[in-house]
Amino acid sequence: MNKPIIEVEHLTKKFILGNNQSADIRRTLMNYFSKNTQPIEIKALDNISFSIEQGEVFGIIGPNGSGKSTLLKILSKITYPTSGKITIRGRVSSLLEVGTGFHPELTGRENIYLNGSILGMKRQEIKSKFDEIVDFSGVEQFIDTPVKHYSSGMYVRLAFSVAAHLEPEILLVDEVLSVGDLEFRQKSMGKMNEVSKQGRTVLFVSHNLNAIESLCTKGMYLNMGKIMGFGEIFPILNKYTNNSIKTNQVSLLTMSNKYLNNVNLKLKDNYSNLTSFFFSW
Amino acid sequence: MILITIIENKKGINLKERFKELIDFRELLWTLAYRDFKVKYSQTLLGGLWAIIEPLATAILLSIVFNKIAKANTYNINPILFGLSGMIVWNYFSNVISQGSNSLILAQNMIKKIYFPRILIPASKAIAAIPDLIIALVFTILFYFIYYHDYTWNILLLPVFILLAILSALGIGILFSAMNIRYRDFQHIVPFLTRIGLFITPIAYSVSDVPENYKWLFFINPMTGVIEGMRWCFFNINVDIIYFSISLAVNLLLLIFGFYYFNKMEKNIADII
Repeated sequence: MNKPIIEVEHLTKKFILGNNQSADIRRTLMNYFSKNTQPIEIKALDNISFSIEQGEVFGIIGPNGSGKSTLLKILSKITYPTSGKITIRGRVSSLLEVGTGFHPELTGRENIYLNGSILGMKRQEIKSKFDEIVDFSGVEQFIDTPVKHYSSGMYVRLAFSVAAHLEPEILLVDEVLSVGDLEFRQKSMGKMNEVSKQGRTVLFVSHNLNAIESLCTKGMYLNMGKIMGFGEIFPILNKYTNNSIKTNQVSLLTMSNKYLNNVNLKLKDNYSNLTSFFFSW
Repeated sequence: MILITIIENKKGINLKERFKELIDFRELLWTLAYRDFKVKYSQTLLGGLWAIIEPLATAILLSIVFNKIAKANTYNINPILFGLSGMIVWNYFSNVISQGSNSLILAQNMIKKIYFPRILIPASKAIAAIPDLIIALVFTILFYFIYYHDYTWNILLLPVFILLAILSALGIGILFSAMNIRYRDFQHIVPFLTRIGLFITPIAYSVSDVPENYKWLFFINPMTGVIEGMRWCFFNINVDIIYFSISLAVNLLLLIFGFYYFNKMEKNIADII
């Protein structure tokens, strides 16, 4: 049978705290002579293993600092694992930011070529999709104007349009769908839906649980570099929201004695229905 | 065919894989170089003319100091032309290494967000400066035919020495950019090196005026061999083949070491930048 498109085995990534890797010659010498200083290590990813099948739209959720972005960065070869092994079967494009490499002095047209080739597209490929990209962005009129004169909305729309026309087998996306106005956001969600229906594998990191829910079929919940849940998306989302609420409850209760008298608490469930509580101590 | 990528923390460098990747990304190299070139002259009045104004002004200044005041020998060649023949390659070299050494730091946003062979960033600086070098060279050849009348066929070998200058700047630019990642001291060292280089490189004087005991010291400077070679092409001034070989060897070693060191650092660039 088909092997999984992404296979992660015992992946660990450690970071050394205290910035003693870069720094200057003086600090290197000092570290050399004082061997007793033990660097503090943190594990952004702690021995995780999982695999993703071809065609899955896979959501990764978890609180800040749980290792989601580090995982995407390792999968896209930006940073290397400390230990463990990853096997990827297909061409990967990663989209951790829109407009990487955009230069304000260059025109929209030139930036499309620049950004496209940074994202790994061939010149010929960009050329053939050029009209489509410009059309999607809605900035035709200004395509030969330096992007420094663009409004910030036009800028991100152009940037997102280039990225949206990538055609890799595996797409890694980190929280980039929240650019532009409401209309453009819906357009980009539509584009993502389209991409996922074409049988591509998409890994999607977001704090926008609604977007995760509507796009993804499977997912993973990360916390402190460990996998807390893996599988169908609904149980994962429930587990995550339950855990988050628990954590917040505790901190609210400890705070309440001292600082809070009247509290108006608004909660959103998975379906964005707003519930409001008002209580006083 | 399915492309299989394996990511793990491996020691050592797979040279074959590295070169294959560089070939895959060659278009990005041109695009980055084009960006730098385009940005350099956007919104300037004189544009590409700056490519000759800068070395010409420096050559005039140096010829006043070295030839009029210090009376250095220029073999009866117009001292400005003599200075310019060295100045154009030195100018290229110092531009490339000063931009190259800062290039990774300036591109850190890109490096943290997307993967591509990092070496393309400093390498694109060596390419982006080539049009300037060619403009300056064309003007110099023009001056040469106006002010110099003993033309020599040696001039046909100019491209060899231009290529040597490019390789030399490429090697050192790559090396310094990688060292700058770990030791930001290079941000202070490089401007200092290019400033004193202007005087200890035989631009407005000839290395044959240097006492025999110190000559080898001058040829350790990677640009000395190139500039003496340029002089041989233009004015048929002989170069001692042994000293020239020293310069060539220094350049080759720096290029190899630059590639080696960069490859060794490359994996960690995004983490420590």
